[in-house]
Amino acid sequence: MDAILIQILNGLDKGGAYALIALGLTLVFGTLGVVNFAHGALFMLGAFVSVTVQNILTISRKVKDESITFFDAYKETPYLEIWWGDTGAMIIDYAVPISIFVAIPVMLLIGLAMERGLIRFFYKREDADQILVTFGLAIVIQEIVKANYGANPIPTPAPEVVAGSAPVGSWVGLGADLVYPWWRMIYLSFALTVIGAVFAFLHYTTFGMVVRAGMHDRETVGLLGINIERRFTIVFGLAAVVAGLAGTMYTPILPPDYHMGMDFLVLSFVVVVVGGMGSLAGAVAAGFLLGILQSFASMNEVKSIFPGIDQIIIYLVAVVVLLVRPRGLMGKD
Amino acid sequence: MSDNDDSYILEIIGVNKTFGGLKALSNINLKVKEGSTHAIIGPNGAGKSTLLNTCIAKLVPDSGSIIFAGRDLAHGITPHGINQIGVSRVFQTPEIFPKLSLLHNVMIPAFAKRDGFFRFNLFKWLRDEKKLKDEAMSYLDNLGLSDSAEVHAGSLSRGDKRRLELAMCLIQHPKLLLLDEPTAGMARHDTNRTIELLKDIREDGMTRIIIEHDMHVVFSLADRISVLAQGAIIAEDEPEAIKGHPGVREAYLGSAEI
Amino acid sequence: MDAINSSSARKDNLAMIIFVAVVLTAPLWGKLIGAGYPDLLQKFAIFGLFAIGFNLLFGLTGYLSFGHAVFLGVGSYTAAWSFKLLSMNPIPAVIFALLLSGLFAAAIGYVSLKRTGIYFAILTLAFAQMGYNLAYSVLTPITNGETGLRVLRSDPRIIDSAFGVQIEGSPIGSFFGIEMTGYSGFYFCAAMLIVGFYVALRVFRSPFGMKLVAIKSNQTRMEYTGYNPKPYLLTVFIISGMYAGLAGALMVIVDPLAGAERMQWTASGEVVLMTILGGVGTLVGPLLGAAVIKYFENIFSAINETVLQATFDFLPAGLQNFMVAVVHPFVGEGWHLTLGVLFMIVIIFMPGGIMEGIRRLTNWVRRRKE
Repeated sequence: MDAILIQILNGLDKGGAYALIALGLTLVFGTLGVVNFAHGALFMLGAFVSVTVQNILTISRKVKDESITFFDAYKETPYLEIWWGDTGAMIIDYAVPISIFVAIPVMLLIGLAMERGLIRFFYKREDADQILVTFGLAIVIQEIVKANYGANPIPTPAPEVVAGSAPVGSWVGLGADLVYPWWRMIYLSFALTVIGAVFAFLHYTTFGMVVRAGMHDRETVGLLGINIERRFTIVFGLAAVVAGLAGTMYTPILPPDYHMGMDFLVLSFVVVVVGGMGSLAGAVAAGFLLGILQSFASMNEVKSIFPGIDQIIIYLVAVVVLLVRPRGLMGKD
Repeated sequence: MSDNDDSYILEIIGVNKTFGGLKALSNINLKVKEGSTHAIIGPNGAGKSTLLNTCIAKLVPDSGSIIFAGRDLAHGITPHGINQIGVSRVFQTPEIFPKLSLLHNVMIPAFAKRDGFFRFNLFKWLRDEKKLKDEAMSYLDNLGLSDSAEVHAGSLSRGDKRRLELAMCLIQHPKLLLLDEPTAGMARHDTNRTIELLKDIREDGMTRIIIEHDMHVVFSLADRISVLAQGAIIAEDEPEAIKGHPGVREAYLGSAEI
Repeated sequence: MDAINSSSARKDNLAMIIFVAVVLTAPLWGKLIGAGYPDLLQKFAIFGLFAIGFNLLFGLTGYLSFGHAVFLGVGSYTAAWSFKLLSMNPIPAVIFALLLSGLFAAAIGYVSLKRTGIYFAILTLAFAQMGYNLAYSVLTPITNGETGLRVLRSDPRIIDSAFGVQIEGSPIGSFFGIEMTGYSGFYFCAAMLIVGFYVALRVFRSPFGMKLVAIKSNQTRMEYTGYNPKPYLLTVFIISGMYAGLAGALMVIVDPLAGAERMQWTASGEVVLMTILGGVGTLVGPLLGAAVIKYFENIFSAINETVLQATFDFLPAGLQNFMVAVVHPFVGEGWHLTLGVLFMIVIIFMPGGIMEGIRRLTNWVRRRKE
């Protein structure tokens, strides 16, 4: 029982990331009709917003180390600590949460620029062209990041307070062995909040209703004299923000490197396909479902029966779903 | 012509089709005699195209069967299977191969007729298929398209696309030809030419079902006419009788078609 | 204009003769453009085959496979095992690679072709990722995982040992005594390329090829014309996969090492780029695209900062540093950035690729003459 619960918990935070990326992916596909192979790059860019914020906060200069007395020693000390002492140190400690506030405007701008600068010219082109141009863009983005940040993963730790694990087991009366890292729990709640916000936005605002109507039947909405194009631009920006936030918050779980976007993108496609292309609820459900499935598949007990299943489970599910239920779990005709 | 002749090539028996609560076809019964031209007329949205779609496995009827030459077209048969047993269709919006030349557009159905639904003729030169090419050319010629044989079909006018599609169907010598508004979008002059052409190919013994709004075309070609309104057949008779049929007038006067 | 439409026996024969001549004299003209190394010429031929095969599928039918590298990997591993178990002769390696990659293509194609468009692309991608992940994990006994599969002196090689063939030094592919390195290696690849090109030509000029283009043009009409598109698509998918398998085998033949990174989806993306850059649906285009990319990869990835400083030496110091700073991210390690930018430029501005460019240019010249 403990083991099962642990696997579910482990799957949930990864599933949250899948769900967030897939949500944007399917939103863009549903509204703009574009398959965005650069969507993973947005996730990665979000993660690097964290890195950048951390880098900026820790801009430092050499200061004489007073604790070493028998010779002149210098150490790098961030300006923030020099100026504000412990308060400054705390700000640095909270680099990742702070990044959220930076990521929102930055990702929105990137998203809008991407849509206006490139994607909109491809609405009328063939599927293959859309796939290929966004694929090219993904390569460009990831190579630029690689050129600026190097090829190695960059550690971006969570704030000290939440570094440990939560004793989930003792909360629910299942023994003290069952623990779950605080940050993962935060990530999961964060993902659920963002998902909830996006759904609320789409369901309870006029803007959202128009977008949903557009997803359903673009032509009719266009005929109503509503400028659907402009709304779709904003939708793209929104999707970029969601993917970016997913990346920003994920950094303490997985130190970001330049190709994390591609890795997540391929999986997120599978998530979207499994959930049903164009179905928002499907994307979210499939994201969590596949995250948990993957987590179960990497249990040793499972791997001893089906060797290698953890490596392919997601793809296998995708193949089966595409063949048995081509519209996906929640897709409509 | 008499009704007690048994040589029906197509029998539509009790076909029903509903789209989300909307009755598109209700209990359609229709018999088409071999070699005849049967017209289906009716106001927009009467279910004419839906009916044709059930004949080529594009739609599966909720109930009923469609028997063509002893086989049920409504169930257990693929679109290419239907073509292979001798049913061709001209679509309402022309379905051609826009990226290929006119000549190749017509050669492809000729290959299908000769080789069946699949043939592994990977290493045969296309240019050695002289006989097929000549045949295709003669069909293009018949429809007045031979001058543009090397042109990409996508660049044709709508009327020319229709004629091309007709050539593509005719080269297969189908037993049953389904024509969905074959003259829509054509100039009067081209319409008349198409009527003449369709009259000429009557001798083949080809059976034709034609959906048409243009009454001039209908009365020039049809041996029998069925009138469809709101998914049901409200009258079926010979052209002269249909002209005077009160129900037909009523169905049509409601719309601006006639 | 599709290549299918312009065909006459004389033109085709002439094209074939020119093609053979150009390929066989590659070591000569290669020198002129600074590509006179056998290693690079081998790459031209190998990736040329890969792209020609990919184009048979994508160019003719429009089905975009994002997982073609998996067949490249299968071909490589098969050839390596043929080297290990049977003989260092490339012939059995090629034959088994063709068979096995064909088999894989049949299985993957059968499933993937049940869907079209983006679903097809994602399915092939999923299969390729599965293959890649498995090659790195469970299949390590076959693939030797991260290290890559090496051909060793101590391998059994039943056929070779039956004929008493001994190996001195590290094992190298050997075509009846001719070692598959340097120019002899290139000529083996070149022979395969010529055969591959001829087969592609025949497919393009056959009724089969015309039907494939028809499927791309209008699949609905194809079905109502009496064709079952599935066996056509599957056949060409298998052929296309076999080209990739052959290319993979040749990689091992000229350099007996097979690694899983060959199956990564970036490799699948690269072949798409080659095909598009050269010209989708044209006969020569993909080969041209492959050569251009490998050529510039060779040049660009060799450039480092020192070379750049020297190149912009003629400029005043400030400008020199500026130019170096601008160009630097695109060369050396940054070659992939150049590739990505190129990819986008081609798709945005020149969807017809190099061949389309050439056609426009000749049209323009012709019009100017008139």
